Amino acid sequence: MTLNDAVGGVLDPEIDVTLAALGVVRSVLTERDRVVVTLAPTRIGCPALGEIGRRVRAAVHRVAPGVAVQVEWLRGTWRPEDVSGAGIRALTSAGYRVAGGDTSCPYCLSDDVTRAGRFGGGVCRTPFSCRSCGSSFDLLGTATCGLRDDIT
Amino acid sequence: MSPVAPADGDIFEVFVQAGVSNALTHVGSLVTGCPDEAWYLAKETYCRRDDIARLWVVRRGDMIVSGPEDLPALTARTRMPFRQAGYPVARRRDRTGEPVAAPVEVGRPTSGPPSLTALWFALADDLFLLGHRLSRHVVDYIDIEDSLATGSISQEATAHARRIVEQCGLTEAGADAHFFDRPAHCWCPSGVSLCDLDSWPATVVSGLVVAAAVVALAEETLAVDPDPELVPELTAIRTEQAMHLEHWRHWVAALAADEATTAEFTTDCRDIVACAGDLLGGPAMSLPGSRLPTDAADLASVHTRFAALLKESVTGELTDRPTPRAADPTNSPLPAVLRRAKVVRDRYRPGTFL
Repeated sequence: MTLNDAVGGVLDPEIDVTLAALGVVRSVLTERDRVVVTLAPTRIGCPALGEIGRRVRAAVHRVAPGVAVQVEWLRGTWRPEDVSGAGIRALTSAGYRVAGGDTSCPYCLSDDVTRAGRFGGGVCRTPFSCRSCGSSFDLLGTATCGLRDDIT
Repeated sequence: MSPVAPADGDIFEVFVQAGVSNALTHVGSLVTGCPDEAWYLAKETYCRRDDIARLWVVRRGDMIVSGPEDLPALTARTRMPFRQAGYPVARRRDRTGEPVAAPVEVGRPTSGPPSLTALWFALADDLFLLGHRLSRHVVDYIDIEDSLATGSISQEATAHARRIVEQCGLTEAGADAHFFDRPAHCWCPSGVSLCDLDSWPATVVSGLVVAAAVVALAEETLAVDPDPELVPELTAIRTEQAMHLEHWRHWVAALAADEATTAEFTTDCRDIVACAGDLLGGPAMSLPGSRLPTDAADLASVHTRFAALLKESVTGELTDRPTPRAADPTNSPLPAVLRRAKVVRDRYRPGTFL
Protein backbone atom coordinates (compact mmCIF):
# COMPACT_ATOMS: atom_id res chain seq x y z
CA MET A 1 0.00 0.00 0.00
CA THR A 2 1.32 3.46 -0.83
CA LEU A 3 1.49 6.27 1.69
CA ASN A 4 -1.15 8.14 -0.30
CA ASP A 5 -3.59 5.24 -0.07
CA ALA A 6 -2.86 4.77 3.64
CA VAL A 7 -3.53 8.42 4.50
CA GLY A 8 -6.45 8.73 2.07
CA GLY A 9 -8.07 5.63 3.57
CA VAL A 10 -8.14 7.01 7.12
CA LEU A 11 -11.72 7.28 8.36
CA ASP A 12 -13.21 10.48 9.69
CA PRO A 13 -13.81 10.10 13.45
CA GLU A 14 -17.51 10.91 13.23
CA ILE A 15 -18.78 9.65 9.90
CA ASP A 16 -17.86 6.49 7.97
CA VAL A 17 -16.15 8.32 5.13
CA THR A 18 -12.47 8.40 4.26
CA LEU A 19 -10.41 11.58 4.45
CA ALA A 20 -9.68 11.25 0.71
CA ALA A 21 -13.40 11.06 -0.14
CA LEU A 22 -14.08 13.99 2.17
CA GLY A 23 -11.53 16.07 0.23
CA VAL A 24 -9.46 16.71 3.34
CA VAL A 25 -6.14 15.25 2.07
CA ARG A 26 -4.12 17.85 0.14
CA SER A 27 -0.74 16.15 -0.19
CA VAL A 28 1.44 13.39 1.20
CA LEU A 29 5.13 14.10 0.56
CA THR A 30 8.25 12.25 1.57
CA GLU A 31 11.01 14.70 2.49
CA ARG A 32 14.35 13.06 3.25
CA ASP A 33 13.67 11.39 6.63
CA ARG A 34 10.07 12.38 7.23
CA VAL A 35 6.58 12.34 5.77
CA VAL A 36 4.67 15.63 5.53
CA VAL A 37 0.91 15.22 5.33
CA THR A 38 -1.04 18.35 4.42
CA LEU A 39 -4.72 18.35 5.33
CA ALA A 40 -7.54 20.89 5.00
CA PRO A 41 -9.93 20.81 7.99
CA THR A 42 -13.59 21.51 7.22
CA ARG A 43 -13.67 24.17 9.93
CA ILE A 44 -11.11 26.10 11.97
CA GLY A 45 -12.93 25.12 15.17
CA CYS A 46 -13.14 21.39 14.31
CA PRO A 47 -12.66 19.45 17.57
CA ALA A 48 -11.50 16.30 15.79
CA LEU A 49 -8.17 17.62 14.46
CA GLY A 50 -6.22 15.88 17.22
CA GLU A 51 -7.88 12.53 16.56
CA ILE A 52 -7.53 12.87 12.78
CA GLY A 53 -3.82 13.68 13.21
CA ARG A 54 -3.40 10.63 15.45
CA ARG A 55 -5.10 8.37 12.90
CA VAL A 56 -3.01 9.79 10.06
CA ARG A 57 0.23 9.20 11.98
CA ALA A 58 -0.88 5.65 12.80
CA ALA A 59 -1.76 5.00 9.12
CA VAL A 60 1.63 6.25 7.94
CA HIS A 61 3.37 4.11 10.54
CA ARG A 62 1.57 0.99 9.33
CA VAL A 63 3.19 1.50 5.92
CA ALA A 64 6.48 3.03 7.05
CA PRO A 65 7.14 2.07 10.68
CA GLY A 66 9.14 4.55 12.72
CA VAL A 67 9.19 7.38 10.19
CA ALA A 68 8.69 10.94 11.46
CA VAL A 69 5.28 12.31 10.47
CA GLN A 70 4.46 15.99 10.27
CA VAL A 71 0.78 16.90 9.90
CA GLU A 72 0.15 20.38 8.46
CA TRP A 73 -3.31 21.97 8.46
CA LEU A 74 -4.36 24.33 5.67
CA ARG A 75 -7.12 26.15 7.52
CA GLY A 76 -9.83 27.91 5.60
CA THR A 77 -9.14 26.13 2.30
CA TRP A 78 -11.62 23.24 2.40
CA ARG A 79 -14.68 23.64 0.18
CA PRO A 80 -17.75 21.39 -0.17
CA GLU A 81 -16.75 20.87 -3.84
CA ASP A 82 -13.70 18.98 -2.55
CA VAL A 83 -15.92 16.05 -1.52
CA SER A 84 -15.60 13.29 -4.15
CA GLY A 85 -18.46 11.31 -5.71
CA ALA A 86 -17.65 8.39 -3.41
CA GLY A 87 -17.66 10.84 -0.50
CA ILE A 88 -21.10 12.12 -1.41
CA ARG A 89 -22.42 8.55 -1.61
CA ALA A 90 -20.89 7.62 1.75
CA LEU A 91 -22.22 10.78 3.38
CA THR A 92 -25.68 10.25 1.91
CA SER A 93 -25.87 6.74 3.32
CA ALA A 94 -24.87 8.16 6.72
CA GLY A 95 -27.65 10.75 6.54
CA TYR A 96 -25.69 13.81 5.37
CA ARG A 97 -25.96 16.13 2.41
CA VAL A 98 -23.16 18.36 1.16
CA ALA A 99 -23.61 22.12 0.73
CA GLY A 100 -23.89 23.28 -2.86
CA GLY A 101 -25.21 19.92 -4.12
CA ASP A 102 -28.42 17.93 -3.84
CA THR A 103 -30.27 19.12 -0.71
CA SER A 104 -33.13 16.62 -0.83
CA CYS A 105 -33.76 14.41 2.19
CA PRO A 106 -31.10 11.64 2.15
CA TYR A 107 -33.66 9.17 3.51
CA CYS A 108 -36.76 9.69 1.34
CA LEU A 109 -35.34 11.99 -1.39
CA SER A 110 -38.13 14.51 -0.86
CA ASP A 111 -37.30 18.12 -1.70
CA ASP A 112 -39.68 19.35 0.99
CA VAL A 113 -36.95 20.10 3.52
CA THR A 114 -36.49 23.01 5.90
CA ARG A 115 -33.46 24.37 7.70
CA ALA A 116 -33.83 23.69 11.43
CA GLY A 117 -31.33 26.32 12.61
CA ARG A 118 -28.04 27.99 11.74
CA PHE A 119 -25.86 25.85 13.97
CA GLY A 120 -25.80 22.07 14.16
CA GLY A 121 -24.36 19.49 16.53
CA GLY A 122 -20.93 20.18 15.04
CA VAL A 123 -19.44 23.40 13.67
CA CYS A 124 -19.29 21.92 10.14
CA ARG A 125 -22.97 21.05 10.02
CA THR A 126 -26.28 22.81 9.51
CA PRO A 127 -29.37 20.96 10.72
CA PHE A 128 -32.25 20.28 8.35
CA SER A 129 -35.49 18.43 8.76
CA CYS A 130 -37.61 16.71 6.13
CA ARG A 131 -41.28 17.63 6.12
CA SER A 132 -42.13 14.56 4.10
CA CYS A 133 -40.74 11.73 6.24
CA GLY A 134 -39.89 13.70 9.41
CA SER A 135 -36.20 12.74 9.39
CA SER A 136 -33.51 15.10 10.62
CA PHE A 137 -30.34 15.33 8.59
CA ASP A 138 -27.28 17.55 8.45
CA LEU A 139 -25.85 19.60 5.64
CA LEU A 140 -22.07 19.45 5.66
CA GLY A 141 -20.48 22.77 4.77
CA THR A 142 -18.85 25.91 6.08
CA ALA A 143 -19.99 29.44 6.73
CA THR A 144 -18.12 30.35 3.54
CA CYS A 145 -20.64 28.36 1.49
CA GLY A 146 -23.13 31.23 1.58
CA LEU A 147 -25.65 29.01 3.36
CA ARG A 148 -27.38 31.97 4.88
CA ASP A 149 -28.16 33.42 1.50
CA ASP A 150 -29.27 30.52 -0.64
CA ILE A 151 -31.33 28.63 1.92
CA THR A 152 -33.70 30.26 4.34
CA MET B 1 -30.07 -42.91 22.49
CA SER B 2 -27.63 -40.47 20.86
CA PRO B 3 -28.01 -36.70 21.48
CA VAL B 4 -30.19 -34.86 18.98
CA ALA B 5 -29.74 -31.16 18.21
CA PRO B 6 -33.06 -29.46 18.99
CA ALA B 7 -34.87 -27.72 16.13
CA ASP B 8 -35.10 -23.90 16.39
CA GLY B 9 -38.85 -24.19 16.87
CA ASP B 10 -38.29 -26.17 20.06
CA ILE B 11 -35.96 -23.66 21.74
CA PHE B 12 -37.48 -20.99 23.97
CA GLU B 13 -35.66 -18.02 25.52
CA VAL B 14 -36.73 -17.12 29.05
CA PHE B 15 -36.87 -13.59 30.47
CA VAL B 16 -37.54 -13.01 34.16
CA GLN B 17 -38.07 -9.94 36.28
CA ALA B 18 -37.45 -10.82 39.91
CA GLY B 19 -39.14 -8.23 42.13
CA VAL B 20 -40.56 -4.92 40.90
CA SER B 21 -37.34 -2.93 41.15
CA ASN B 22 -35.19 -5.16 38.94
CA ALA B 23 -34.97 -5.14 35.14
CA LEU B 24 -36.38 -7.87 32.96
CA THR B 25 -33.38 -10.11 32.34
CA HIS B 26 -32.59 -12.97 30.00
CA VAL B 27 -31.97 -15.92 32.32
CA GLY B 28 -31.51 -18.81 29.90
CA SER B 29 -33.29 -21.04 27.44
CA LEU B 30 -35.10 -24.33 27.46
CA VAL B 31 -36.14 -26.99 24.99
CA THR B 32 -39.61 -28.39 24.73
CA GLY B 33 -41.48 -30.01 21.93
CA CYS B 34 -44.71 -28.67 23.39
CA PRO B 35 -45.05 -24.85 23.10
CA ASP B 36 -48.06 -24.73 25.42
CA GLU B 37 -45.88 -26.12 28.19
CA ALA B 38 -42.94 -23.70 27.68
CA TRP B 39 -44.13 -21.01 30.10
CA TYR B 40 -44.90 -23.55 32.86
CA LEU B 41 -41.60 -25.31 32.29
CA ALA B 42 -39.79 -21.96 32.56
CA LYS B 43 -41.59 -21.18 35.80
CA GLU B 44 -40.51 -24.51 37.28
CA THR B 45 -36.96 -24.17 35.94
CA TYR B 46 -36.09 -20.52 36.62
CA CYS B 47 -38.63 -19.12 39.09
CA ARG B 48 -38.62 -21.33 42.13
CA ARG B 49 -36.72 -19.09 44.56
CA ASP B 50 -37.80 -15.48 44.08
CA ASP B 51 -41.03 -13.53 43.87
CA ILE B 52 -41.39 -12.97 40.16
CA ALA B 53 -42.95 -9.81 38.73
CA ARG B 54 -42.80 -10.87 35.08
CA LEU B 55 -42.02 -14.07 33.20
CA TRP B 56 -41.71 -13.96 29.40
CA VAL B 57 -41.04 -16.87 27.13
CA VAL B 58 -40.20 -16.32 23.45
CA ARG B 59 -39.64 -18.89 20.73
CA ARG B 60 -36.07 -18.37 19.48
CA GLY B 61 -37.15 -18.66 15.85
CA ASP B 62 -39.44 -15.64 16.36
CA MET B 63 -36.65 -13.35 17.59
CA ILE B 64 -34.58 -11.00 15.48
CA VAL B 65 -31.06 -11.39 16.80
CA SER B 66 -27.59 -10.18 15.89
CA GLY B 67 -24.91 -12.57 14.74
CA PRO B 68 -21.13 -12.28 14.59
CA GLU B 69 -21.40 -10.74 11.11
CA ASP B 70 -23.35 -7.81 12.60
CA LEU B 71 -20.57 -6.78 14.98
CA PRO B 72 -19.05 -4.16 12.64
CA ALA B 73 -22.45 -2.43 12.41
CA LEU B 74 -22.72 -2.47 16.21
CA THR B 75 -19.27 -1.06 16.88
CA ALA B 76 -19.42 2.51 18.09
CA ARG B 77 -16.74 3.85 15.78
CA THR B 78 -18.93 6.50 14.17
CA ARG B 79 -20.31 7.85 17.40
CA MET B 80 -17.96 10.70 18.17
CA PRO B 81 -15.21 8.97 20.14
CA PHE B 82 -13.99 12.29 21.55
CA ARG B 83 -17.33 12.77 23.27
CA GLN B 84 -17.22 9.42 25.00
CA ALA B 85 -16.29 9.03 28.64
CA GLY B 86 -12.62 8.32 29.12
CA TYR B 87 -11.60 9.75 25.76
CA PRO B 88 -9.73 12.76 27.15
CA VAL B 89 -7.50 10.69 29.36
CA ALA B 90 -7.04 7.86 26.88
CA ARG B 91 -6.48 9.74 23.66
CA ARG B 92 -5.41 13.27 24.24
CA ARG B 93 -1.83 14.08 23.66
CA ASP B 94 0.38 13.95 26.71
CA ARG B 95 2.91 16.75 26.48
CA THR B 96 4.51 16.15 29.85
CA GLY B 97 7.98 16.00 28.33
CA GLU B 98 7.61 19.01 26.06
CA PRO B 99 9.29 22.27 27.00
CA VAL B 100 7.10 24.74 28.86
CA ALA B 101 6.66 27.94 26.88
CA ALA B 102 7.25 31.28 28.56
CA PRO B 103 3.90 32.95 27.95
CA VAL B 104 4.67 36.54 28.91
CA GLU B 105 7.96 36.79 27.04
CA VAL B 106 6.40 36.71 23.57
CA GLY B 107 5.43 40.31 23.01
CA ARG B 108 7.12 43.45 24.25
CA PRO B 109 5.11 46.65 24.80
CA THR B 110 6.33 49.44 22.54
CA SER B 111 5.47 53.09 22.13
CA GLY B 112 3.65 54.61 19.19
CA PRO B 113 0.50 53.39 17.46
CA PRO B 114 -0.29 49.65 17.57
CA SER B 115 0.14 47.40 14.54
CA LEU B 116 -2.65 45.20 13.17
CA THR B 117 -0.77 42.30 14.76
CA ALA B 118 -0.97 44.00 18.17
CA LEU B 119 -4.72 44.63 17.73
CA TRP B 120 -5.29 40.96 16.81
CA PHE B 121 -3.16 39.80 19.73
CA ALA B 122 -5.23 41.83 22.21
CA LEU B 123 -8.56 40.85 20.61
CA ALA B 124 -7.65 37.16 20.97
CA ASP B 125 -7.96 37.62 24.76
CA ASP B 126 -11.55 38.79 24.34
CA LEU B 127 -12.37 35.93 21.98
CA PHE B 128 -11.01 33.44 24.48
CA LEU B 129 -12.91 35.02 27.38
CA LEU B 130 -16.11 35.13 25.30
CA GLY B 131 -15.71 31.44 24.39
CA HIS B 132 -15.30 30.57 28.04
CA ARG B 133 -18.21 32.81 29.08
CA LEU B 134 -20.54 31.23 26.51
CA SER B 135 -19.60 27.72 27.58
CA ARG B 136 -21.61 28.33 30.76
CA HIS B 137 -24.74 28.72 28.67
CA VAL B 138 -24.31 25.60 26.52
CA VAL B 139 -26.29 23.60 29.06
CA ASP B 140 -29.29 25.98 28.99
CA TYR B 141 -31.41 23.38 27.26
CA ILE B 142 -34.50 25.55 27.07
CA ASP B 143 -34.11 25.70 23.32
CA ILE B 144 -31.92 23.11 21.63
CA GLU B 145 -31.19 25.39 18.66
CA ASP B 146 -29.79 28.06 20.93
CA SER B 147 -27.83 25.54 22.89
CA LEU B 148 -26.22 24.33 19.65
CA ALA B 149 -25.57 27.90 18.50
CA THR B 150 -24.00 28.89 21.82
CA GLY B 151 -21.83 25.78 21.79
CA SER B 152 -20.70 26.33 18.20
CA ILE B 153 -19.92 30.01 18.76
CA SER B 154 -18.08 29.22 21.98
CA GLN B 155 -16.03 26.54 20.23
CA GLU B 156 -15.21 28.75 17.26
CA ALA B 157 -14.37 31.80 19.39
CA THR B 158 -11.85 29.73 21.34
CA ALA B 159 -10.42 28.15 18.17
CA HIS B 160 -10.09 31.57 16.52
CA ALA B 161 -8.37 32.97 19.63
CA ARG B 162 -5.84 30.16 19.50
CA ARG B 163 -5.19 30.52 15.77
CA ILE B 164 -4.76 34.28 16.08
CA VAL B 165 -2.06 34.04 18.73
CA GLU B 166 -0.39 31.26 16.74
CA GLN B 167 -0.33 33.55 13.70
CA CYS B 168 1.13 36.22 15.99
CA GLY B 169 4.12 33.91 16.48
CA LEU B 170 3.25 31.62 19.39
CA THR B 171 3.75 27.86 19.14
CA GLU B 172 0.86 25.49 19.88
CA ALA B 173 2.13 24.93 23.41
CA GLY B 174 2.87 28.65 23.74
CA ALA B 175 -0.70 29.50 22.77
CA ASP B 176 -2.00 27.13 25.41
CA ALA B 177 0.27 28.63 28.07
CA HIS B 178 -0.69 32.12 26.90
CA PHE B 179 -4.34 31.50 27.77
CA PHE B 180 -4.11 29.08 30.66
CA ASP B 181 -0.90 29.88 32.52
CA ARG B 182 -0.60 33.67 32.13
CA PRO B 183 -1.24 35.41 35.47
CA ALA B 184 -4.25 37.75 35.60
CA HIS B 185 -2.12 40.90 35.98
CA CYS B 186 -0.51 40.24 32.58
CA TRP B 187 -3.88 40.22 30.80
CA CYS B 188 -5.27 43.29 29.11
CA PRO B 189 -8.85 42.44 28.13
CA SER B 190 -11.49 44.86 26.87
CA GLY B 191 -14.01 46.21 29.38
CA VAL B 192 -16.60 44.29 27.34
CA SER B 193 -15.15 40.97 28.45
CA LEU B 194 -15.75 41.78 32.12
CA CYS B 195 -19.19 43.43 31.93
CA ASP B 196 -21.92 41.80 34.03
CA LEU B 197 -20.85 38.22 33.37
CA ASP B 198 -24.01 36.66 34.81
CA SER B 199 -26.60 38.41 32.68
CA TRP B 200 -27.75 36.82 29.43
CA PRO B 201 -28.63 40.14 27.72
CA ALA B 202 -25.12 41.41 28.59
CA THR B 203 -23.63 38.20 27.20
CA VAL B 204 -25.60 38.67 23.96
CA VAL B 205 -24.35 42.25 23.51
CA SER B 206 -20.78 41.22 24.40
CA GLY B 207 -20.95 38.41 21.84
CA LEU B 208 -22.21 40.85 19.24
CA VAL B 209 -19.58 43.54 19.78
CA VAL B 210 -16.72 41.02 19.91
CA ALA B 211 -17.90 39.38 16.65
CA ALA B 212 -18.24 42.83 15.04
CA ALA B 213 -14.73 43.79 16.16
CA VAL B 214 -13.25 40.58 14.69
CA VAL B 215 -15.12 41.08 11.40
CA ALA B 216 -13.94 44.71 11.20
CA LEU B 217 -10.33 43.80 11.98
CA ALA B 218 -10.35 40.87 9.51
CA GLU B 219 -11.73 43.08 6.74
CA GLU B 220 -9.16 45.77 7.48
CA THR B 221 -6.35 43.17 7.46
CA LEU B 222 -7.56 41.62 4.20
CA ALA B 223 -7.67 45.12 2.70
CA VAL B 224 -3.99 45.84 3.38
CA ASP B 225 -2.66 42.89 1.35
CA PRO B 226 -1.51 40.43 3.99
CA ASP B 227 0.70 37.39 3.38
CA PRO B 228 -1.28 35.46 0.68
CA GLU B 229 -1.00 32.26 2.70
CA LEU B 230 -3.01 33.92 5.49
CA VAL B 231 -5.91 34.91 3.25
CA PRO B 232 -7.95 31.65 3.35
CA GLU B 233 -7.78 31.45 7.13
CA LEU B 234 -8.50 35.15 7.67
CA THR B 235 -11.42 34.89 5.25
CA ALA B 236 -12.77 31.85 7.10
CA ILE B 237 -12.46 33.65 10.45
CA ARG B 238 -14.23 36.70 9.03
CA THR B 239 -17.07 34.62 7.57
CA GLU B 240 -17.54 32.48 10.66
CA GLN B 241 -17.59 35.56 12.89
CA ALA B 242 -20.06 37.25 10.51
CA MET B 243 -22.32 34.25 11.08
CA HIS B 244 -21.96 34.73 14.86
CA LEU B 245 -22.75 38.43 14.43
CA GLU B 246 -25.90 37.49 12.52
CA HIS B 247 -26.94 35.12 15.31
CA TRP B 248 -26.48 37.80 17.98
CA ARG B 249 -28.43 40.30 15.88
CA HIS B 250 -31.46 37.98 16.02
CA TRP B 251 -31.10 37.82 19.81
CA VAL B 252 -30.75 41.59 20.07
CA ALA B 253 -33.96 42.06 18.08
CA ALA B 254 -35.78 39.54 20.28
CA LEU B 255 -34.59 41.04 23.59
CA ALA B 256 -35.35 44.59 22.45
CA ALA B 257 -38.84 43.65 21.29
CA ASP B 258 -39.91 41.75 24.40
CA GLU B 259 -41.54 43.98 27.01
CA ALA B 260 -40.16 41.84 29.82
CA THR B 261 -36.53 42.30 28.77
CA THR B 262 -36.38 45.60 26.92
CA ALA B 263 -35.53 47.82 29.92
CA GLU B 264 -32.68 45.66 31.23
CA PHE B 265 -31.46 45.05 27.71
CA THR B 266 -31.36 48.74 26.78
CA THR B 267 -29.26 49.52 29.86
CA ASP B 268 -26.86 46.63 29.20
CA CYS B 269 -26.59 47.62 25.58
CA ARG B 270 -25.73 51.23 26.41
CA ASP B 271 -23.13 50.25 29.03
CA ILE B 272 -21.40 47.66 26.89
CA VAL B 273 -21.35 49.65 23.65
CA ALA B 274 -19.93 52.57 25.67
CA CYS B 275 -16.88 50.49 26.62
CA ALA B 276 -16.59 48.59 23.30
CA GLY B 277 -14.24 51.25 21.90
CA ASP B 278 -11.30 49.51 23.56
CA LEU B 279 -11.88 46.21 21.70
CA LEU B 280 -9.76 47.66 18.89
CA GLY B 281 -7.62 49.67 21.30
CA GLY B 282 -5.09 47.02 22.22
CA PRO B 283 -1.68 48.28 23.37
CA ALA B 284 1.18 48.72 20.93
CA MET B 285 3.34 45.64 21.08
CA SER B 286 6.25 44.15 19.21
CA LEU B 287 5.64 40.55 18.10
CA PRO B 288 8.62 39.72 15.90
CA GLY B 289 7.42 36.24 14.93
CA SER B 290 4.05 37.39 13.63
CA ARG B 291 2.80 36.59 10.13
CA LEU B 292 0.07 39.21 10.45
CA PRO B 293 0.87 42.77 9.25
CA THR B 294 3.25 44.52 11.64
CA ASP B 295 3.06 48.07 10.21
CA ALA B 296 1.18 50.69 12.20
CA ALA B 297 -2.56 50.11 11.83
CA ASP B 298 -4.89 52.68 10.31
CA LEU B 299 -6.91 52.99 13.53
CA ALA B 300 -9.45 55.38 12.04
CA SER B 301 -10.22 52.95 9.21
CA VAL B 302 -10.63 49.94 11.56
CA HIS B 303 -12.80 51.96 13.88
CA THR B 304 -15.03 53.16 11.03
CA ARG B 305 -15.63 49.57 9.90
CA PHE B 306 -16.41 48.55 13.49
CA ALA B 307 -18.74 51.49 14.11
CA ALA B 308 -20.63 50.77 10.88
CA LEU B 309 -21.21 47.12 11.88
CA LEU B 310 -22.42 48.17 15.35
CA LYS B 311 -24.71 50.86 13.99
CA GLU B 312 -26.57 48.24 11.95
CA SER B 313 -26.99 46.05 15.01
CA VAL B 314 -27.43 47.86 18.31
CA THR B 315 -28.27 51.18 19.86
CA GLY B 316 -25.76 52.90 22.13
CA GLU B 317 -22.99 55.44 21.77
CA LEU B 318 -19.65 54.09 20.63
CA THR B 319 -16.64 56.34 21.25
CA ASP B 320 -15.34 58.37 18.29
CA ARG B 321 -12.03 56.56 18.20
CA PRO B 322 -10.47 53.43 19.77
CA THR B 323 -9.91 53.90 23.50
CA PRO B 324 -6.98 52.38 25.43
CA ARG B 325 -7.61 49.31 27.52
CA ALA B 326 -7.45 49.45 31.32
CA ALA B 327 -3.93 48.49 32.30
CA ASP B 328 -4.26 46.17 35.29
CA PRO B 329 -7.31 43.91 35.56
CA THR B 330 -6.30 42.46 38.95
CA ASN B 331 -9.23 44.05 40.81
CA SER B 332 -11.82 42.89 38.27
CA PRO B 333 -13.69 39.60 37.88
CA LEU B 334 -10.83 38.40 35.63
CA PRO B 335 -8.81 36.38 38.20
CA ALA B 336 -11.97 34.45 39.16
CA VAL B 337 -12.85 33.88 35.50
CA LEU B 338 -9.38 32.55 34.71
CA ARG B 339 -9.48 30.25 37.75
CA ARG B 340 -12.80 28.82 36.54
CA ALA B 341 -11.43 28.34 33.03
CA LYS B 342 -8.65 26.20 34.50
CA VAL B 343 -10.84 24.06 36.75
CA VAL B 344 -11.61 21.37 34.19
CA ARG B 345 -7.91 20.92 33.45
CA ASP B 346 -7.14 20.27 37.09
CA ARG B 347 -8.96 16.95 36.85
CA TYR B 348 -6.42 15.52 34.46
CA ARG B 349 -2.91 14.48 35.39
CA PRO B 350 -0.40 17.31 35.06
CA GLY B 351 0.82 17.88 31.55
CA THR B 352 -2.26 16.50 29.82
CA PHE B 353 -3.42 19.26 27.56
CA LEU B 354 -7.04 19.96 26.81
